[in-house]
Amino acid sequence: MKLQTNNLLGWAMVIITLSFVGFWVPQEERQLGSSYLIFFFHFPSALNCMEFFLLGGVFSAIYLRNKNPSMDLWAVASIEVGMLACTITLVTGGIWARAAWGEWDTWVINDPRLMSVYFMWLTYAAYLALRSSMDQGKRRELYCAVFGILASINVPVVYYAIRIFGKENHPMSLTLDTTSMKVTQWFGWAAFLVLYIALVRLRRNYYHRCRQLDRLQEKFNRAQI
Amino acid sequence: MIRTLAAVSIPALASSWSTRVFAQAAKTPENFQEAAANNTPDFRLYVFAAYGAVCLLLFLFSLRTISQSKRLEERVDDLEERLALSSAARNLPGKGDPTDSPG
Repeated sequence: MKLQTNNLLGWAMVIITLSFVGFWVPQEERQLGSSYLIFFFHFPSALNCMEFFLLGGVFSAIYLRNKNPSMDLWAVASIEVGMLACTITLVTGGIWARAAWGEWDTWVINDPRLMSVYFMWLTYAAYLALRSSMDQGKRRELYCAVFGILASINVPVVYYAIRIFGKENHPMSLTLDTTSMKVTQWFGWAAFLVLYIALVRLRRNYYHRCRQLDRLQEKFNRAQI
Repeated sequence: MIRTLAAVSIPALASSWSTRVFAQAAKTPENFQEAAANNTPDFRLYVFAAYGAVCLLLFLFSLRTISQSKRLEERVDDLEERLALSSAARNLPGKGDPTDSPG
């Protein structure tokens, strides 16, 4: 699939999700009222951020095995998009927590899942900081690949945090009553997945160009000498 | 007739307006405790504002990446062209080629 087609399809699906949320699903939930509507953006971002972080770990492992520089580019692109999705998850989760529990601040400290998501966000922020602090080359690719694999270990911990550490506030899963809610939930997930895949491909293209430019500049400098 | 209508309708309109204003004020995001009493305020405006912000963020991120890639592509093309020109200039006959020398 072409890059622009992928991007347009993603946006079209996001708009359809938004119209489902606006016109199809019930506007009130029994306990949470209308604040539950944020779930249809919060859930896809949360699930997709974990998928892209795991994917980053897989690409890093393939890089370590094959030493193929292209895998390093795919890994950083996946992790960047995962970071974006994770930030959206944290922000929408905070807004929802304020609406549902009346708290902005204690949700991070008290809840095992939210605490682990916050930790995951910080870990990947450290990955990006490490990457930007080193010069391009084999050494950076190697360090980032090892960091990417180690950081991805936290992803299953986030997913199973409630089973491992016990439930505080955050539910393991939200029980949706109607078909429209379930369809919107999974359609939203697919919509954001398509959009994030398009974003990963865009970022990978960008890094590919950066690498091309570095090589050409090196060649050019040698030719000048 | 007009006076009578005005005398009846203006206080009615004023009271309905004030009722609406107070009802709106009661639906501020500070009123979260109502959720527990199963009498939740209407968050739809805030939810859709959050959705809009998320979409805008993703859209700007895509646009920024596309424009950065295009700029890089132009620089890559430019450098490739310059490299090709410089290598062509070096390969011109009589320019440092030992076979061209008469001796």
